[in-house]
Amino acid sequence: MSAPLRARDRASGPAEARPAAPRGVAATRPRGKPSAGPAAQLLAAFRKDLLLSWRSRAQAMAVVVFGATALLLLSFAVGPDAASLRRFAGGFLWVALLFSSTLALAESFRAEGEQKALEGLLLLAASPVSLFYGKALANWLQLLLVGIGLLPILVVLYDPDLSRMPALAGLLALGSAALSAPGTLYAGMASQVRAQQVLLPLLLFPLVVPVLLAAVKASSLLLLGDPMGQAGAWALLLAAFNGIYWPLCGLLFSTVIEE
Amino acid sequence: MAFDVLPQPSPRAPRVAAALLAASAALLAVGSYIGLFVAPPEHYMGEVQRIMYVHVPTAWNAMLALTFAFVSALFVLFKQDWRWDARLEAWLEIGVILSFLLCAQGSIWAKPTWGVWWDWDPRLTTTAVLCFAFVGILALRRFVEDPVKRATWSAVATIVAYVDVPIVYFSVKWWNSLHQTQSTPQTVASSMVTPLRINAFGVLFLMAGLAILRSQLARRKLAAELAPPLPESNRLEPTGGVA
Amino acid sequence: MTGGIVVGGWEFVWAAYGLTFVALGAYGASLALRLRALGEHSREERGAREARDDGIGPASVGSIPSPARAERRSAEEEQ
Repeated sequence: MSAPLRARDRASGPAEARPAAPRGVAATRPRGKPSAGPAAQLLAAFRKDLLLSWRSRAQAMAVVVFGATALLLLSFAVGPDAASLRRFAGGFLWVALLFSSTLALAESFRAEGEQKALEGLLLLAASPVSLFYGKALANWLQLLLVGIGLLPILVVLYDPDLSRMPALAGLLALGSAALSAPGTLYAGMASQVRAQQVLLPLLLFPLVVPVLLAAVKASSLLLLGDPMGQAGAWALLLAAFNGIYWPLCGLLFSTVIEE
Repeated sequence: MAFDVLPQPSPRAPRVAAALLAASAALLAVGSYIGLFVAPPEHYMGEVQRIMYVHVPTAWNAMLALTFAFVSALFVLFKQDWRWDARLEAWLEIGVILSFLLCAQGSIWAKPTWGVWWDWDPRLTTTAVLCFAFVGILALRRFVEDPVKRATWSAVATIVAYVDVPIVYFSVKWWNSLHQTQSTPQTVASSMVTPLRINAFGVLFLMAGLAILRSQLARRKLAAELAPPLPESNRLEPTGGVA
Repeated sequence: MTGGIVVGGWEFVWAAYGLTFVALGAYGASLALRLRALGEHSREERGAREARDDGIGPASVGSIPSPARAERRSAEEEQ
């Protein structure tokens, strides 16, 4: 095995018989620049998490199916009365999304936890802040897609007003962002302990009560009629929650994953 | 390195705690006596209103306890000192107990007044949400075995939950304002202020004394965890004394 | 007097006060007991360690009978 290699070394001149390491390092780093800045790290982390989600898209589909099952069960809790179902459509959508989010958020750290990849990323001088925002953005996208995936089931079971679906999608974007920021922080904690399935909802659910209230209120107003135009104010509350928690969770994430 | 000084129990602490607890017992006895037997019954609510003399002090001190927990959490993250982790544990537990008592008192007050055990009053509902949130943080402390992680993670969770308090209050108040007209009374007549203030200080001293004891307990448990006592291995050695 | 006034209700008052003081008192008592148990255990341990370090022959081996030591150790585990 080693003989042909040595023959090759002997054949090449002394100028080329340098050890491979310096050449490899010079090849990976752009000349004169330090390691990638935070924005590039963020994008890289975002791409990595999207790729991971895409590779486990069967799991993502299962999360949507879980949410749909939750919607079905909630409608059984109310009964076949169409008027009540229409009244509760907004509330049930968000409860189903909240339950699904625990699965999706826990899943986002599973691959890294199993492969011990998080320590590796930190050793490569990746800033934890960029890691957090990359992952939180990817989780946001995933939760939004789950929410949109639930909309057809919502339409079939609860018979809401179809013209309001685009506005509802906008609310889903705001609400899933509000779930994603603290959810990613807590999922980072939960993934490192044994009782993870219980810990994430236990910590997350009381925290996101304002998100649930605002999203349910706004959704119900959208679907059932908003004579006083209050839906915008609830959406503003959601935006404020996002404005507070996206910076705060990013700041705190580094303490959660350092060894 | 952070978190490197082993926490030592303080020798004066039990005496300070005992003094605080004795003072609180006296204050609460006096305040409750005045509130129960001396103060006049309120016009509309009758005798049930006397619950206020223990409910309002509990409310003030529950919020204070959770605020102390928040401050301790900040110190844990910035100072990385085990003593602050012990204080955090103490204030978290006391805050949860007081919040739970607050919800129970509110329930007992609501039943004769409104006929229901829960009236979705914004302040009480916020307290209920807080109770769940901080119980979750206590559970987090149970589930994490590494002491450094336990300290930093529960500090992070406390900060995140405490920042949420005004948001929860505002959203519940707004959510409820469309339906509800009744709420717990805000104004207190002057004849009722005295027992209220006495009991408020009584619960404050009680809380402080309990926190000192709980924090000392936490320090000892931490010390045992971080530097466990040497195992008794002498039974295997021959009885001739040291070699 | 017209309606809207709550009559009686002393049992609710006693329930509220009783629950509050009993709960806080029980918590305080449990803290005091746990602290005392931990304090005793560490004092006994320190005593045993000192006896060992002094090199006193028989005292270094099983000076405190094992059932008592096991009992105290299990009491400490319960905290």
